[in-house]
Amino acid sequence: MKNHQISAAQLVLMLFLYHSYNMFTSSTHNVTGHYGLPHLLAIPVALAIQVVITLPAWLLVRKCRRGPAEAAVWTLGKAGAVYPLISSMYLLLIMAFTVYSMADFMVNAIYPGSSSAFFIVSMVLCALYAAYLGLEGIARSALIVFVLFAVSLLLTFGGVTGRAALINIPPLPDGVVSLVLEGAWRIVGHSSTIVMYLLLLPYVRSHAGRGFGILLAAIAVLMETVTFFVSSVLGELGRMEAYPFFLLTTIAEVSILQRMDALHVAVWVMVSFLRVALCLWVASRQLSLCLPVRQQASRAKWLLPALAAAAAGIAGCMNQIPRFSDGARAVFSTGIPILLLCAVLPAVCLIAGAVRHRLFPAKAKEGGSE
Amino acid sequence: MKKLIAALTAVLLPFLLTGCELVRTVNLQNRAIVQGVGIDWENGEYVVTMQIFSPEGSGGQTIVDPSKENAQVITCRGASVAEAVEKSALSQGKEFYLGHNRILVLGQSVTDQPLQGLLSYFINSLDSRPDIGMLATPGKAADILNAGISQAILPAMGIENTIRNAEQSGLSQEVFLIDVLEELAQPHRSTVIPYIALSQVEDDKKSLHAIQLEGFGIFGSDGYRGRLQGDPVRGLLFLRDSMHNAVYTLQNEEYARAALQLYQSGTRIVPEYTDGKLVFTAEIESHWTLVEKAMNPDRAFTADTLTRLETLLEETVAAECREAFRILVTDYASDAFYLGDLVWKEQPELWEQLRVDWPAGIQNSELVCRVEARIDRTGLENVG
Repeated sequence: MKNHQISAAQLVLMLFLYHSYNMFTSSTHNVTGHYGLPHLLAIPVALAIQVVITLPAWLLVRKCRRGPAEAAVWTLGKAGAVYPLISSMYLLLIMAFTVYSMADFMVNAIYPGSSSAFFIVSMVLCALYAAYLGLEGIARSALIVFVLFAVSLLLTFGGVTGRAALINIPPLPDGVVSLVLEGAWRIVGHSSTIVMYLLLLPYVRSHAGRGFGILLAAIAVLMETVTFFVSSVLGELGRMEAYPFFLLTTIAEVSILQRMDALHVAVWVMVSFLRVALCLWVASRQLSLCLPVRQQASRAKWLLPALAAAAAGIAGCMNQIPRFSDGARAVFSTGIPILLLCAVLPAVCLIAGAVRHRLFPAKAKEGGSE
Repeated sequence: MKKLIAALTAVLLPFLLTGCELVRTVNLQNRAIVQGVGIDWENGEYVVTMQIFSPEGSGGQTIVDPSKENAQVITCRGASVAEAVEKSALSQGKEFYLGHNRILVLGQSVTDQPLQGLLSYFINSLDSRPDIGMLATPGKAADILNAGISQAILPAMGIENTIRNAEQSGLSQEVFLIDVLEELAQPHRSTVIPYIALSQVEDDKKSLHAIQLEGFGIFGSDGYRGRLQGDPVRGLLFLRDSMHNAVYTLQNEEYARAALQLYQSGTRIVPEYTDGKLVFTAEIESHWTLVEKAMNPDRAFTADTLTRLETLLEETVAAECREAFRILVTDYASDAFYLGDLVWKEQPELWEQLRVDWPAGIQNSELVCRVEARIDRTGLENVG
C-alpha cells in the first residue's frame, strides 16, 4: 500500500482548520448554557482534560511504536479490530454531521429556499475526490486554506474590536465550578481533533508529541478569542443566534471593507471541505484495518466511495429527520467516543499487550498500513 | 500529463462559476436596491415603505444627477413585514435587495409593539445588514421616506449623513439595528433610538424638506416608554459614554461668552447599595478646548478665570446628566445605562434580589455625578 507521510507542521495546520469548523454554529460557543465567563474558563480546563485523557493512547503508541488502531490489532489480535471499527464509524458520523450542518447553514443563512441535497452531494463528491488524491494533497491544500482562514479571522476580529464591551460578558453565576467542569467536558466531547491526531500518528514523520501540544494550545487560543468577541460584542444576543460567529462577520468593518461575510463563508466552505475529505480518508484507512491483511489492498479502493455514499445518506437523513441530527449531537456531547478511543480502549490494549508480551516489539515493523 | 489536466481543469472551472441555476439567483437589473425602509401600522396591518434607488440622469454622460432625488418610493401592506414585502410583487416587477439599506424608520404607530418582534425580519433576512441606522418619528415613517430631501444624491443618504453629523457634533448618537437588538436581548435593559421629524424649508423656487433631530425615544422590551429632548440629551450621551465631541457655551461674571469644545471624554459608573438605597456614582473625566471667548469689561483672561469656568462647566454637565437620569430612570423606569449589568457584576447577590422587579429597583435609585472638566487647550491666545 502507498506510504503516506506528512510533517508535524502540516498535521497541526490541517487539524487546526479541522477543529475551527466547530466555531460556525452556536452549540460549541454555548456549551455551558451560560456563555461568557463560564465558557471562557471551561476552555483551558478542557485543554487540561484533553491532555490527561489522551495519556493512555500516547503510552500505547510509544510502547507499540504504532498508531493506536494498529497497536490495538497488534496487542489484541483479531479482537483489536474493534478499535478501528469504532473509530471509522465515529469519523463517519462526524463526516455526515459536518456535511449536514454545512448544508443546513447554507440554506438557512446564505441561500434560503435552495436544496440541501445540492450542497450535500457536491460537498461529498468533492471530498471523495480529495480523499482519493491522498493525505499529502489534503495537507498541502490545508496550508493555502489556513492562510485564507487566518486573514479572514484577522479581518473579523479587527472589524469588531471597536464594538467589544466587557459589560456584555455575563459575570460568574452560582455553581460556577460545576458549570465550568460540565462545559469543559462538553468541549472535550466535541474535540474529535484529538482522536484524529492520534489516528494520523503513523503518517507523521517526526515531532508528533510537540505538534500535539502546539495544536491544543492554538485551538484553545482560537476558541477563547472567538468566545470573547462573540460574548463582548453580541452579549445575550449571541446566545439567541443560531450562527453568532456569522453575525459577527456581518458587522465587522475595517475601513471601507464591509459586509465581507460572503468571503468568510467561502473560506468556511473550504474548511468544511478539508474536514470532510480528511475524515473520509482516515475513516477508509481505519476501516481497511478491519479487513484481513491479504484483502486490504484489493478491497480498500471500494471503501472511499462506500463511506462517501454512507455519509451522504446519513447527512440526508439528518436533514429530513431532526431526531437523527439531535442524536448525533447527543453522541458528541456525552464524550463517550472520545473516552473510548483515547483512554478506555488504549488502556485495555496496554493490559493485553503486557499480558501477551507485545509491548516491546522487534524493530522490524509489521502491518499493512505502513 | 496529470499536471496538464489539473491545470486545464483549474483554468476551465471558473468559466462555470457564472451563476448556478440550482441556487436561486436574481440578475441586477431585476433588483430594486433599497436605501431606506419605513414601518407603520394602519388598520391592523403593517405598512412598509421602501425608498429604492432610481437614478435620474441629466442626460449625456451623467447617470445620476445629484440635484434630483434619484429615488422611488414603494408602499406595501401585510400582516407581517415579510408578507408586506412579498405582496409588493403585485404592483412592481423587481425583487428588493436590502443589502444597501441605510436607514430603518419606525413610525409612531408601531413603536408600542415590542421591538424584537418588529425587527425580526431584518435580522433574519439574509440580504439585510445588522448595521442599519435606526430612527423613529413622531408621525408616519412613510412621510419621512416620501419627503423630497435633496441634501445628498439620495434622500436616505441625506438622512444618514445628518445623523452622523449630529453624532460628530455631540448632539445625537447613531444607533444601529444590532445595537438595539443587543441591548434588548437582556430583558432588564432599555435602548434609545434617535427621533427625527420633517421641517419645511422655503426656497426661492420651491418648498424643500429637511429633517430635524428631536432627541431620543426610549424603548424597553415591551415597547415605547417616552422621549428625551433638549439639554438632557447631552447628559444621556455622557452617561452612555457616547459623547466624543460637544460644544458648550457658558457665561459667568468674567466671560460674557465662552465656547468650550470637548475633545476627550470617559465615563465610569459605579453602583453602591447604602441604607437600602441604590446609588450610582458617575465619574466623568473630560478634556476641553476653549474655542471662543468674549470677556466682560475689565476682566482678564487668566488661569484663575479658566478654573472658575471649569467649575461652571462641571456643574452644567452634572446637571444635564442628573436630568437625563431622572427622566429615563425615575420617570420611565428605563435602564439605558447598563445599570443592571453593573450591579450584576459588582454585587451579584443584590442583583438576584433586584432583578425580579428591576424597574421598581432603579426607580428608587439615585445618581451622584462627579464631573472633572479640564480646559487644557486654549487655542493660540496666551493665558495671562
